[in-house]
Amino acid sequence: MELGLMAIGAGLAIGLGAIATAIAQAKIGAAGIGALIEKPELLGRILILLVIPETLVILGFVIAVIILSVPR
Amino acid sequence: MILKMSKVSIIGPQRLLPEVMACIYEAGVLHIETTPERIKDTPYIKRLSLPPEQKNEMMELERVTGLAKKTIDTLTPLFVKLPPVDDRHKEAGVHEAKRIIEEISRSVDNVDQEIRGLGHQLSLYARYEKILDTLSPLIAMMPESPFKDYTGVTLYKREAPLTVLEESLQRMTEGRYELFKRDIDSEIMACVIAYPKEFGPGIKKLFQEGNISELRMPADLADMPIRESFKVISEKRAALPFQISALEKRLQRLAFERYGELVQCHRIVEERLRQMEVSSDLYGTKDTFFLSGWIPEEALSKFTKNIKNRFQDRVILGRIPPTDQERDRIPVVLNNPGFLRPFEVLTRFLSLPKYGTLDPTPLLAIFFPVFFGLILGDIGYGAILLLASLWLRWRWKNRELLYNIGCVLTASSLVTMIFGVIFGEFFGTLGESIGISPYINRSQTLIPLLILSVVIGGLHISLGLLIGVIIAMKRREAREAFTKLFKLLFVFSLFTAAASFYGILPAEWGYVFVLSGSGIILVLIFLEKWIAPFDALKLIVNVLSYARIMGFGAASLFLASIANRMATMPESVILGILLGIFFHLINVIIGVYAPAIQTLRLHYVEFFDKFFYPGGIEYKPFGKGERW
Repeated sequence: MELGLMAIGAGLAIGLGAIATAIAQAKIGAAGIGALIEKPELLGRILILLVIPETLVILGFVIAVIILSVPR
Repeated sequence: MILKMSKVSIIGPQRLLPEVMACIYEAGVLHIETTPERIKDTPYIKRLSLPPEQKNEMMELERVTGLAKKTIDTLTPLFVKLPPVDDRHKEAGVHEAKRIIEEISRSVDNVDQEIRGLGHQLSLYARYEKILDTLSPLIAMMPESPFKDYTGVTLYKREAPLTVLEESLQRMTEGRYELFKRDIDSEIMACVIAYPKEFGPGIKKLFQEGNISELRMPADLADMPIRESFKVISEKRAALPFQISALEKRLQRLAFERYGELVQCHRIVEERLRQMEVSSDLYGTKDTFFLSGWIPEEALSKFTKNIKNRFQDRVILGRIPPTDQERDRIPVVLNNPGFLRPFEVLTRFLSLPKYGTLDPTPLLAIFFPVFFGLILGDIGYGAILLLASLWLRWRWKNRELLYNIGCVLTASSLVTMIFGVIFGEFFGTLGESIGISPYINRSQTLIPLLILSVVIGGLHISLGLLIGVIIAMKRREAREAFTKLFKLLFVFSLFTAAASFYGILPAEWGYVFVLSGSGIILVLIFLEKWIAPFDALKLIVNVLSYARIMGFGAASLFLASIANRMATMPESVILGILLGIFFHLINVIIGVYAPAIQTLRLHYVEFFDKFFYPGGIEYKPFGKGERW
């Protein structure tokens, strides 16, 4: 039971982070492509903006690993 | 490393301007600056205007360059690989170059226009294809008579039924008409109607009122009897593709024979035009000109000697110390040793650093391959990437960007193999099966590797902050320097507090560092106002962001293990091997993309943010080789 709850917790941590990242990246990506058509030289900066939300899923991943590593 | 630049100004009599410009152009080291506003507003200083004959020449050169560009654009798509520039006319004068451009452009344009015209005709006739195929047999059945007229119509069966048309024709001609019909498709029907000539106007009116579309021939065949025009269309439809193909071959021959020549002449004309453009943008008094610009310090003495020898005291070249306001306008030249140079592509990908700050290329050359290798860490994948990078460098040795990416990939793949040995990974878990024993087993040390990643993050960010402090001091930005110094102390207290809580340092030290961390935030609030708490939080997130090194590393290992497991699932050995290769190939692609993007992100977002001043102006010397 406890292991199951831990697995659900870990899944939620990474899953919700991934969903949030996806929503943010979808919006940034769409706007970024629009900007790129006008100014192709912005590729580097747009790439940075695009990967910024990935921190959310990485932090979720860290939490998931920590949850699953708690000694039982 | 950013090359040291000097600012120079050149003053001389206006009559020598063309000669001076040619001399500067030949040297090709001076980045000419737009004349500053403060000089433009000085009394007696005005923009130099070119004499009328030079203005006319400039307009003529602009026209010829436009012509050359258009012709080059027409010819370029005909090559799979562009031919080398033809040096035959290297020493040709502008007039000769102009003549050659005009001659080639005229020939190319004639053929191109002909191809376009015929192509247009072909597409026009193609529109008649269906109707023609349907009506031709009907037309052939029509008896030839000087008293009869023919017309073709298309009927939409639903909108204008045939019975209605026939009733109207019957009424108008009292039955003296013939109608032949055939279906084009399920909805449209084509008809040919023969009638005595005197009914012509009445029948045309009938078509208009009944919304029946009469078959209209192309404009050039409009006056022709329908039978003949059908014949002409059929003949042309058959002949046009051959004519177009012959013309295309002629254009290709022209391209192969004269493309290199055209490009060379285009360069000659552009060089002259550029010289005139720059001259027309200069300022001076009634009789003198004035220009200023930036030159790499190492090229200054040769350039000065050159001007001195050529013009003696008639032209004065002086060195001007740059002001503080000018420092962000100084053009930047990245000048790294050969083995670091390929990594400049990663710096440029973001932006050039401002002059007087740090070129992060050497740091990228160290950390990029290390982080990349740490994430991918596999002997097999590293070997594949090494081969791919060597191929890239061999195949594209003349394309600077691709060659440099190949070099970056070579360094990264070598480090990947080194970490592969440490992690004992060869195509994932296959290493264990063939007896490679890991020094660190990634699948069983996730938490220690997570801590290691965060520690690497802390050190990397601290290094960035330290560099940031030094640069801010160099730029005499005291507040910025203090802010970065306190941020550095905040990261230090963060880590020492964490070390105390994990028992590496005495527990009571932890509270001291938590308190000192809080104190630092207060100082930061004083320095940065309300944004400071968010900046402190951002620092923590920045450090934790390095957890991706472990995260993506573990993902790469698990994906490789899954590929191996898939390979063992089918009963057939061959199918298993094919499946294994397929999944490992996918993993290699992900293996290049993910570590490269993540490593770049860690540098651009987390690391550069601490010391990098983007927005440097690219050094564009006025002269030969400037654009090419």
